[in-house]
Amino acid sequence: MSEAVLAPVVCTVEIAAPRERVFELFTTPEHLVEWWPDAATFEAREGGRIELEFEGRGEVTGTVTRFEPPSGLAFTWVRGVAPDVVTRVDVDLTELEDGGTHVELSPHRLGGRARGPGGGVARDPRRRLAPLPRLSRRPRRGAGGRQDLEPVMASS
Amino acid sequence: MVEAIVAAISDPTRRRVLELVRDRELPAGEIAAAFEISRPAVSRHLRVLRRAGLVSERREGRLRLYRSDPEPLGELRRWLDAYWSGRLAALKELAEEER
Repeated sequence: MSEAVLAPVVCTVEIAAPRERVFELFTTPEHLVEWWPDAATFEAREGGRIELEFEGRGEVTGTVTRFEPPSGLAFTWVRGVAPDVVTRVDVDLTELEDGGTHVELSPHRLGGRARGPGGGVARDPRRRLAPLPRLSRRPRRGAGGRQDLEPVMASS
Repeated sequence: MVEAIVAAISDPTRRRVLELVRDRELPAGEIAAAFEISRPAVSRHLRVLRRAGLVSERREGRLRLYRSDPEPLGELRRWLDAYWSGRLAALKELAEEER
């Protein structure tokens, strides 16, 4: 849909820390809650489950589709309130000459439904039987100025 | 506004409607003919898209003509860009603070 209108969103940042450090902050629940969601589950392997809770704004679930420390990862992204919209987020970490890290993040909207044949990433029936372990919670801090809605789709 | 846009495009039929009227203006009847759903159902989808600002409606005699409006998607794109840039800034701050 509207590829012409929506050029891909690509966000980049340069971080004065090694890739291993950045990858760890992105893939461990204890660290994720320090900079992103209020509570997090992140199974650090390909095929692992992701669950991010944003207080008062619902949750996002997903599956790790690429797990390659320290060069990058990718995961699907499905909001509880819009289970039909599947986004994949790609994160690439490149080593800079000074030992720092160049981060490139790009969300892509995936076509089709999250549920149903061929795209069953949004609802895993096992989730209803077994709550996910390792739910890390954010240590209480200030409001933090985060935005009102977690992103749900993007260009592709 | 972003919520309305996201809700509007979360439906696969509505995404197809948007695609259909991206490059040309079409009357509701022709849009309905492209789908295997009832005309009232198509009207409902068009209403949701209009409320989100994703399609514009123009009357010509007895016809209502629809066309997609790219602006809200541009808004969504800017919003996504701001959101992820903000998250990466927070990641950078944390990564550098704990060195």
